[in-house]
Amino acid sequence: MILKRVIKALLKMIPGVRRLRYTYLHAKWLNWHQERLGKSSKKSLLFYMLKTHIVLGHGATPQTRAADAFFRMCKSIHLQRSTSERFQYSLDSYTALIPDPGTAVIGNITINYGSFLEGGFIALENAVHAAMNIHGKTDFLQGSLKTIGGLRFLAARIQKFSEADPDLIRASRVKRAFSGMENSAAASLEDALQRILFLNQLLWQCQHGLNGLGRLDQILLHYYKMDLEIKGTTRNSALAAIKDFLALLHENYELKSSVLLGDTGQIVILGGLMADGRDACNELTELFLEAVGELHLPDPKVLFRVSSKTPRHFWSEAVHCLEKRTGSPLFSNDDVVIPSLVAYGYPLEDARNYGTAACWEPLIPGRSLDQGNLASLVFPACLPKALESTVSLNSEEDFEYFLRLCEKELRNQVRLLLESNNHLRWCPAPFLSLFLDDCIGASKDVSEGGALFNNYGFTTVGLGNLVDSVANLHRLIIEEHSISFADLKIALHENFNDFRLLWDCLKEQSSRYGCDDPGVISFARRFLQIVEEEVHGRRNCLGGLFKFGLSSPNYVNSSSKFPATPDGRRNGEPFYVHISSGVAGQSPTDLVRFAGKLDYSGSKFNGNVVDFVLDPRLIESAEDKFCDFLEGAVRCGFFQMQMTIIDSATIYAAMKDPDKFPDLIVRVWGFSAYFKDLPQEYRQVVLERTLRSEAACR
Amino acid sequence: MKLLVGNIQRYCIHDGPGIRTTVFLKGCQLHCPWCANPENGERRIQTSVQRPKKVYGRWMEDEELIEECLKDEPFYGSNGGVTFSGGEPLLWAQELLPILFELRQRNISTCVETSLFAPTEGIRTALALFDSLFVDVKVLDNERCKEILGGDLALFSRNLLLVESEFSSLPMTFRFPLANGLSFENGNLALLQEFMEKRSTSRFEIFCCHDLASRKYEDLGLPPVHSNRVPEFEYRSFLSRLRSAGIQFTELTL
Repeated sequence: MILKRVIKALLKMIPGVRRLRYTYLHAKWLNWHQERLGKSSKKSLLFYMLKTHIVLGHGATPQTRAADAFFRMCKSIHLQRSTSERFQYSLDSYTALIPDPGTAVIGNITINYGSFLEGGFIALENAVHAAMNIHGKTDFLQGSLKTIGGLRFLAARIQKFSEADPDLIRASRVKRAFSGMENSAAASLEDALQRILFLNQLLWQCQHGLNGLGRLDQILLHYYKMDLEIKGTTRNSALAAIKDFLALLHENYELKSSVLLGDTGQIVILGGLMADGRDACNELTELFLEAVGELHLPDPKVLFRVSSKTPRHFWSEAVHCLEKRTGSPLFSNDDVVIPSLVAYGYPLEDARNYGTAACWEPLIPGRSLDQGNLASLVFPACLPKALESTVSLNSEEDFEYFLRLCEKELRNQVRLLLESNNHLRWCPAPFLSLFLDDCIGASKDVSEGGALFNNYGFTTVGLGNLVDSVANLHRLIIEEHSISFADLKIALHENFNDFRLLWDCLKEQSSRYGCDDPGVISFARRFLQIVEEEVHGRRNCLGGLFKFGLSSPNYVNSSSKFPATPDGRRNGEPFYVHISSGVAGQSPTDLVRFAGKLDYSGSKFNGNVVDFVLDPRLIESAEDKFCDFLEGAVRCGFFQMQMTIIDSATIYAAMKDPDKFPDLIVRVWGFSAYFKDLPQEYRQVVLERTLRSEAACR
Repeated sequence: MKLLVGNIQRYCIHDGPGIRTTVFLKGCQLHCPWCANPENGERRIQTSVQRPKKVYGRWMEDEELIEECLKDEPFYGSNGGVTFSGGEPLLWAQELLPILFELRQRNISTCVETSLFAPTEGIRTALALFDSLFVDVKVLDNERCKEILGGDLALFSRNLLLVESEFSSLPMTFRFPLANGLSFENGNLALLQEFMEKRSTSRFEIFCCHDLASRKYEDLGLPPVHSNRVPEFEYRSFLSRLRSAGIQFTELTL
């Protein structure tokens, strides 16, 4: 057995064998993409294997090999004519790099696009030479020069490629944008967007997936204003260019999507605060919101940073975008997020410049390795053992004993999670490192901790189910004596079959997680505090800290095989979606007030999203009132918030015949998806939540 | 003082300006056959006859009710606030006074949805502390009013005179619930039109009654309500008639 493993490990290291193995794996990955679109066959796998080109780098160290591989990839990727009338952007899905053995490819971050708009390849080289004056000609810095060489080579190839473009206008635009990349700043908004696309295609080419776009309304503002003032271009022409840009990014969404279609991580951060604390909303904020609304695509998505300083006009623009029902924008409350970041240790200026990872995990664009979604903590996982180890539940002392067992289990889970995610090794990423501060200055690859911030984060799921479970135990057994503990244990084991009355009792809980109720909030804070105590101050192997949050992609995955829980949830039923409530007909104001009373201090800022379904009638003829609601929500202190605007009649119809609703978009976790693309269990979650939200009391 | 509260509903956008918390008080002198809130008709606590057991009505002290009204204060903005409905909220005029006073102190706007079938003195006192009101105008023939609603039209008329003379500066909207064969019937429609023509500068909202509350009637053990839906064509004809007469109104879709 051990011999087998050694042989396997050795084989993995032999280049030829490695190449064959990764050719097969890459072909399988391409085939999987086809399968989830409903098209595949055994012939396809062979076809993909023949088409796949794995690029291997040569060099004595992983760093030099990675830089060499990047350079070779720039030489060999196949270029295709773009569908855009302005930009060149294409992905060669058959060409791939291989990660070093035992390492993972870095994804889920945002690079510093702004620096490449301000200067080209020469500026990058100058920075590397300046670093060499301090650190000498290290492997990393020499690899960086090679990487820049690769960029230069590819830019030249694209210019040559565009010379043969039958679309002469596009050809001249592309040539102008790429020729300027050698030694100038971007000369216009279009040039700036082209530079972003150039780097972006390489991110995907290097498999740095789920990559975000950053604060585009801030990065691009200078170029937009320059166009208006000097070139006399119009707002409408800028809108057209932005729409073109976004549509192009969306084009390959099927290949870019992670687990579910639509989950590409392509997030545009808008609004927020400037470095001096003033509101940062500008004309481009408006243009991006308008563009996203008009395109009616689930991706790229928008996160709109808001605060008590957000002007009413921009709230209205955000509401207009919401009404287009793409699930954008997700709102992030700077009045809560920024103080959390500062208290955690991010400098104020960086905190004011925050963006997020693919879903909602705050990070500093262009300066973070920060990995926000390394694992998921399942809160209800502490219940089975705690219930088993509690023999009686007759008194407050018994209940406290039971809670302490839950806490003990929870601590063990957190420790295990931290331990198993603390020794991650990242694949050298010389291309990423060029655009993440301060890798060049420190002469350190991002994989070795060269970025300024290297915090690790995990998501959590099921806090609501845990809170409602313990609240039920206290209310029904300790306070009201209406059910017996023994019966409950059996009922859980039997999945409530033959325990209809008991099950009804558990579900009749009028005050649940998500309700502004002191008892519920107290339980929630108690469990959060346990996790905080285990996480606080723990360092990861790169010297960063750990962080966690209350929203998670795993409300279906983690629950599908999870047994019944005392909140009335049956075996396999989904956990609560992010911060939401199981109470039928609950008002969003109640939910937001609840969210505002949770504690986001310490390490608890890794994404905390209030999520609800909203009847279209509550927004569509009442935009002004919905703006009132959003402004009030900021005052209440929510962390982040998203919503799906839909009614049950539409969902019922769409479930019967999804293809009749090709444009129906719903919010899933940190992304939006076409309803027709969702697996059945996710569609069911949307339906059930919509029905629950529509339950009216009038 | 205690009030019997049927329900407190939050994030209401059709009960006055801005975002409102609507407090439904139990008790009403009328028995409108189309009532969408039959659970608020009686001034007593009721329980459902079906499972799951539900209790309709809770006695609340005014401090408790004020606390509930204040919970959504962050969302009221410059014009949102609290609306009192029911049942007939002005049957609780005396008990409402300290609450209305407190909300006024805190600059939270208050609104009442009333049929004006309540004691006149109470209305006079309470309206001094409201910021706006909705008045339901249903059946304007004396006999029919008695027969269909169980109400004395003279009381409505007296109270309407009081409102329009002593509280003419109070923003007021008249609401016309249309139920087929009841309020939506030739004779009554003519009276409703005349009512509107006499008040050309007032705000009018018109809507058709629905029968979505039938489950509530079952749950309370009440006789089932017959469908009172007005046929679309007749409804549109009536609205056209009003427009031709130069009457401006808003159509509500609830």
